[in-house]
Amino acid sequence: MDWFELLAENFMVEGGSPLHYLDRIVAAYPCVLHGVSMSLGGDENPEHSDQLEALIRRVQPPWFSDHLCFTGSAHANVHDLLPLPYTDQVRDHVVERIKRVQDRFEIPFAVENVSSYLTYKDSVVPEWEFLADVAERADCALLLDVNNIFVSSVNHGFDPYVYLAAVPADRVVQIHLAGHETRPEGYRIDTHDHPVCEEVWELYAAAIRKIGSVSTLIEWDGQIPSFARLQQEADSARSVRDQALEAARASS
Amino acid sequence: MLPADWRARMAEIVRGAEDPDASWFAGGVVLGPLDQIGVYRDQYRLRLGDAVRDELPGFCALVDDAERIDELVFAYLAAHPSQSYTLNRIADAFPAFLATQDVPQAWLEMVALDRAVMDGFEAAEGHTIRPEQLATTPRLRLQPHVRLLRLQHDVHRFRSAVISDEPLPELAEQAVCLVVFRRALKMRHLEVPPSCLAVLEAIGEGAALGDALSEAVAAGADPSVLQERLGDWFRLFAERDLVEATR
Repeated sequence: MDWFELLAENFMVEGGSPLHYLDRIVAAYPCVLHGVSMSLGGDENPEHSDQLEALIRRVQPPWFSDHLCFTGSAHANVHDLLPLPYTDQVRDHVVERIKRVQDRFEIPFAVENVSSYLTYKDSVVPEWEFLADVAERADCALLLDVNNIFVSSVNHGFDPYVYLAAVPADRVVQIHLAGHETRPEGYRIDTHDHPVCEEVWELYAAAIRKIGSVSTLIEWDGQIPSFARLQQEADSARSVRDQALEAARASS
Repeated sequence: MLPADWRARMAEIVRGAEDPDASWFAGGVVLGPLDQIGVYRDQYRLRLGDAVRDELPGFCALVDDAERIDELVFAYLAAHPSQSYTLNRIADAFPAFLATQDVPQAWLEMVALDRAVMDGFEAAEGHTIRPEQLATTPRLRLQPHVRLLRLQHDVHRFRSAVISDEPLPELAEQAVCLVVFRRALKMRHLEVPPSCLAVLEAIGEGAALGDALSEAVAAGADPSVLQERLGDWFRLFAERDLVEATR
């Protein structure tokens, strides 16, 4: 394994086994932090920010990331990555939140696109335009989740390659890949418990041709297979990446 | 800005406390507007229900009735929506909630034990004190991972069988003084005499050593037992890393 991504909230604890193993992994491998609770569409949770700051000091990652979403309200955190209405008002709020995050933590911050199962009537632009606009105005990095693009494209009926074309390539510092599930009703759901499907590999190859070589992580955190099987999936990603880079070189 | 009241209503809709307003959602090629928000409502019940049950393994095994467990878990989530950024704290208020329900005493004790184990697992590291340091340490406190329980049933034996996937014993009604603590990253428990627990409770309340003994006696500890066993107990406290020096 080249590096690890650590789910930040799992290590925002006082002590015990999580921090014991965290310190050993950090000592042996390059690590980045990935959060699920910043709720960029909502208000800052000061306790979360303080805990994150302590964790960043402990891990000293080259960048950290969280999602373009909100997770509930001050009264009720629903612990899900709820999509945002893509409006100017929401964009301005998210941009301000990201700027404050970058000012406070002083290391690169990457925003990740979520998989979604609903769309709002209030949205005035498609997700890819909103994401690119936010990244530009906030001057932040992007964590591009290729599986999430594909899952949302099926659920909402858009062309994933149109989405990819709108992504500002120079801002992408990391890619996520994952498996997902098709539900009997016909929608796809991001479960992180399957191998990466063929359509997502193809979209990943297109992403690499556009962006170039970029750190790629396979999220497989449900029904976790053997380490050998995980490594096989990582090897597949390397192989797809290398072929895509070769194709890009040949065509340039 | 995303209005706070809009976010609050979305959160209420997702957790099932409010009916969804179909006019908010566009619907799509696969799902209609209400089906779209329904995905998130279903996921909420799955995710948070699992999270609460995962925090209460002993309780779930003791109740052994999926329908009754779900009834209590979702009544709890309705009354105590998560206000933490982490799911690790999702069951923090469950013992207080369960105490308001008409349930057997053993269930309350098992939940207290489940919470003690989960709390201690991620608690801060204290400073280990060596047995020979005890005599010169004027004031002790409990290690952050230590929890003290007075039980009327041997729920700790039942829970140990659950965790180690062994045949579950019959629950026995008996007084148990239990110290729950962490050692070598694993949570453990230790049965102690009532007088010993009284001393630890007094230390936990911040008493200086001399006062702790007086408080233990006032709480019912037998002075002669204290005199006879105190040295052994303090060696035990140090060996099991139950106490640390205050700074």
